[in-house]
Amino acid sequence: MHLDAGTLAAYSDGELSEPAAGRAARHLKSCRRCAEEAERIRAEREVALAADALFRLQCVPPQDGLERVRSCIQEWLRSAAAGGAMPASSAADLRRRIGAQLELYFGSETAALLEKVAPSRRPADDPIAAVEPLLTAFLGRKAAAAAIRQIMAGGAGRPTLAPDAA
Amino acid sequence: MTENRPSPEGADWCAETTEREIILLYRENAAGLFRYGVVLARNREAAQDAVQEAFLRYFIARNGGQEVERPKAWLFQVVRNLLLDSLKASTKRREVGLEAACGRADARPDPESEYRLAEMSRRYWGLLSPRELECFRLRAEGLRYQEIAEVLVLRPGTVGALLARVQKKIREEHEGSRRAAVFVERELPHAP
Repeated sequence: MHLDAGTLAAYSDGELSEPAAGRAARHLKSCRRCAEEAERIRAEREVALAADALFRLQCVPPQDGLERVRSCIQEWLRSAAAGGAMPASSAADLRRRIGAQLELYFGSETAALLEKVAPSRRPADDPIAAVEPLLTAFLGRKAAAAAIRQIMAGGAGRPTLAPDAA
Repeated sequence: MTENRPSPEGADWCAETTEREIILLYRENAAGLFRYGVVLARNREAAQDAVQEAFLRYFIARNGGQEVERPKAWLFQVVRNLLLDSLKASTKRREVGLEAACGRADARPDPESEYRLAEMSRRYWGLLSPRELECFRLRAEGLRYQEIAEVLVLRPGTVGALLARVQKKIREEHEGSRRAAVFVERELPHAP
């Protein structure tokens, strides 16, 4: 009875349980075919990881990623301490909510257009900061502040952050 | 979310400890999570959003007193869920090649390595099924079989078989192109 490729891969990755690894090791000592297969699998793993190295090198996260995570956490803590609802917790979520507010005030077609123009100018920074002047121009300061509070509050419930915090 | 609201006494200490935990986890896993996100979403921005959201969720869970047995697997799973949810909403992203998602917008716009990356994406990643690609990515990012099984909702026994298949495909492709290169070198006369 020979070992299958999955077991051999797990064995060479050190991922078999202790008894299973012991059984595999004993089998490999006495079975040339499986020993060769195990060697082939080990070599294939090396080739695959080498092929992957360039991808790893090229595909790096933005340098300020940790800062962004920390400011997200701080924002959440501030909101939680104020006893409010969940603040804008993710950028994607935030953009969705901005979209909903824009649609409410401008209708879906104009909103889609505005969204393209406004947040894409500073996509990585602060989508609220990008959309605020636009809302202010169209709605006036007070209504814009209310819309932004609504976005930060998750589109429902009472506002959790002062408009100037956005 | 009131159950997650920190109590006044000791809340700062708790949040600080959790934040320190997050920083360590971030340093160790962010790059891998990001690469996994790029492979899933074919989009840098979506990947980064998901990574950020996953760490925030981790913070909220830990700050609320929840134990996370395997933080690494937990984070990868959350990134996966977030991205698969958003991919359901938009199917367009899958059509973009991996190279388009990771070559640009970085600190080093080196056309030569971008070209090689694009070449590699076409050659290797195109050979793999989405599940194989994910499984290989998770392993390349250092997840144990048990963790991969958890993230992809597989039996741990299947992980080895999937990886063996992936590695075989990549090796065969690699050998094939090497043989072709040797053939060209040997058989075809060079242009003067």
